[in-house]
Amino acid sequence: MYNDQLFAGGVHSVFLADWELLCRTPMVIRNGQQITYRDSASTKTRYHDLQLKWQSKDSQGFEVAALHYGYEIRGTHVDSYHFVPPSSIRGALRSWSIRHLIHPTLYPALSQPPKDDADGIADHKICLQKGLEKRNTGCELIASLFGLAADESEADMPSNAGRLHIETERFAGTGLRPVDVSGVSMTTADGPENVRREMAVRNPLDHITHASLAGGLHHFLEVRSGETIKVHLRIINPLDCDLGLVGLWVRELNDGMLRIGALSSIGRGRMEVQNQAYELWSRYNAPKLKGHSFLREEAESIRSNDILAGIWMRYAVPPETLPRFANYLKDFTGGCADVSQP
Amino acid sequence: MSHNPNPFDFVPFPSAPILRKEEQFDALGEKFSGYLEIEIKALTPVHVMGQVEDGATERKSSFFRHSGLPCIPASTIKGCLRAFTEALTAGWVSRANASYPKEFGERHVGFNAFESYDPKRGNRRISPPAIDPAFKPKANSDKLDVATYLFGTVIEGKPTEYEVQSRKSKVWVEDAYLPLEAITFKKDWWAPDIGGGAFMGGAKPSASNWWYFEPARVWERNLPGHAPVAEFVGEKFRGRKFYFHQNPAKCIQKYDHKKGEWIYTENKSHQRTFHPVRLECMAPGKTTLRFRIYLDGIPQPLLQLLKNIIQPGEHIRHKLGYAKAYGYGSIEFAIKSANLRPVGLGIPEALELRDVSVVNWDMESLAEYRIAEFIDQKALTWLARILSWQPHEDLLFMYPQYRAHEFKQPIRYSEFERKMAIIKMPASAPVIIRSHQQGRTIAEALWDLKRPIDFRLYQEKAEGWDIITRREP
Repeated sequence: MYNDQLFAGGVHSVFLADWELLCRTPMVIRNGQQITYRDSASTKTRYHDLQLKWQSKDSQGFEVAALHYGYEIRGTHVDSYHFVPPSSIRGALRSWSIRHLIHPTLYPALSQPPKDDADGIADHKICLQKGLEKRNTGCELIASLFGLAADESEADMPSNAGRLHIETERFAGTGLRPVDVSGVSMTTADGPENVRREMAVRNPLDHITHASLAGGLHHFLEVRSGETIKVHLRIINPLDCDLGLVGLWVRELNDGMLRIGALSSIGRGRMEVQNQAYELWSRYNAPKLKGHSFLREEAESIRSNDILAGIWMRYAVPPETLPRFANYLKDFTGGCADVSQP
Repeated sequence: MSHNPNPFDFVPFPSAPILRKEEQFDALGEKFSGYLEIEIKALTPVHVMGQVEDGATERKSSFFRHSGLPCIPASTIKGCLRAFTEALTAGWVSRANASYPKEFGERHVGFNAFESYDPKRGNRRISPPAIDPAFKPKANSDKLDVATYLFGTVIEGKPTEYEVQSRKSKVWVEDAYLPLEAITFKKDWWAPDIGGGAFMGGAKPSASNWWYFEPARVWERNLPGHAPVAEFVGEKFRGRKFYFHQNPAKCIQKYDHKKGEWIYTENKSHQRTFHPVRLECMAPGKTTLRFRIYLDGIPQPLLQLLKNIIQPGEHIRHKLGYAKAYGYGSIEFAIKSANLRPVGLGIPEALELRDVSVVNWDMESLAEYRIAEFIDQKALTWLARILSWQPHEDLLFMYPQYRAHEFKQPIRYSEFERKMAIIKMPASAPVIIRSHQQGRTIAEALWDLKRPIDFRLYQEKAEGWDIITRREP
């Protein structure tokens, strides 16, 4: 049975992964906001003297779905910047893992139904109990890596923070304020300027008449292909299966089967893991991974200023060894056991 | 005087959509995920609209660009494949404008796509739904059509009231980029247009004629200061529209204001309003860079069907982009490789190269691959008629003009009565059309007064129609 006291024995090791992801196709990360752009083109023409404003649509403008951004206060002004929220990466990894490693009958175990859905809540509880009863359903792996949420009223239900923590760096560009619109530069007076962006348009057609679908025309901002994102993963008290799973994520990202952001149906969010580096830091008396022989003990680290430097052992994990850990994953998925039947 | 067929025609609706439960689709066979690598080859110049700039005498439309390269957007490719799928497999009409209300000076007969329409004023005749509501996507049904199973439903922008709930697509299409040298402006690559309004009035279906609509009635319509005219009221959309392939260079010459046969009316300043749009096109013979179409858990028979939809046999070719009515946008997809894996429970395998062959359209082959049950054979026949790529046939397709004896020609009700008397048909308004044949007989009787009354008759009387009817998949 699953024990949600993940750190009862303390923290004995940390697996650190650094990815540099290259956008092989454009990437769309929405924040639900609509901003405005103006096009001075006359009737039957388009894209003349384009201007983007990071504010709500005005009477002369058109709406465009914004790209996710954050901001910080520097002195007397607010600086905004685009970045990929860690939750987007986490969501993509979690969703891929659930879809591939968990039996569909157990999906309700890993999604919280609305509070007013009594049947859904009951189903969720039953599925979760069944899923966590045995290790080979995959639920334990998902619960321990990504965390398990329970409502305050569900004291009897397991809950824990995940062992996987994700951080992302903001895009590193500067002075990239204009937005490309089909080869035409759209000026912006404000807003983020740290990544190359494009404004895409979609204009669905009526299948009977081939006229534009009323209300269908819409625009959105996206990160241009060729841009890179830096992602840092940290897995506390890693297991062999965790390393195997990271290896699978890398393969699937490179194949385009695991995508970041929205609109995968029109090819957005395909990544290439352009650079990857892995380290395992562990206490001297930490339990050894079964695949310990794949690791390489190293004194030097790119993180020589890390708080753990000189205290814990540091092992380099060569990227090519990760797939070898996939064998250990089988114990935690076991072919996605269907426990819905008694 | 003979005429050219209209540039588009309709794939008629079958009696009911082909629907299955999701579990039935899922159970069709082993499922596969992965991607197909594909190239698009232009058969005629292809134009996807990017920036459009106005000049003194002409307009210039650049090819759409993305990430610094010319590009056929994924949504364009996906839309093309989905529209074909919906027609071929008797699917729902996933995208249709819901309402065309009666509007003074614009639309005399209002109608709705999937619901009855009550004009609430004037002639209170209720227009029945233009499309059988059985073809309206259903959010709450336990069944769905092939296209929705494969392509999902994404509510983008402002959803119309009938759209089904969001459903993830199992087919992910990426943008198809072109090398810069594949596109260019050429003096012969243009599309006709006029200043101001829309050329040909845009794609505005009217229930006041039998063009987009099946014949239903003939009304006596009173116009201020004029004798009453016959109004040919239609009721049901004829089907799903597709454009014929043709040679654009030959076609657009006919629309040229100097050497063509198309008459451009003058505007108030007595200037001809001809205002061509120069098109930056992907040149015929050029191919896109390879792009990918991803598949996410598609059962073997539907994977085969999808491959056939992408490469629809020996004769059928797709069209996409702008100015399809003038011959632009004829393309050929070529599946170059397939990297797939079976979908099962447990740790997914790595992708592997797989077979990319397509099946013939004959019933035996379709049955062998278990896709015959999803094909509307009549639709396939019509798709072959409309989308057959047969350059040697040298057919030309042109819109009827807005001039005497064509679209502009009103038919006085007294003339209509006279013609009906000759063919011994009742003419007291409203004349209710009971069958296609009756509508056709009426249109035939009026042929010398006005040719484009009944779309089907107009097509069947056009030059080369016998060749078109012999086309096969």
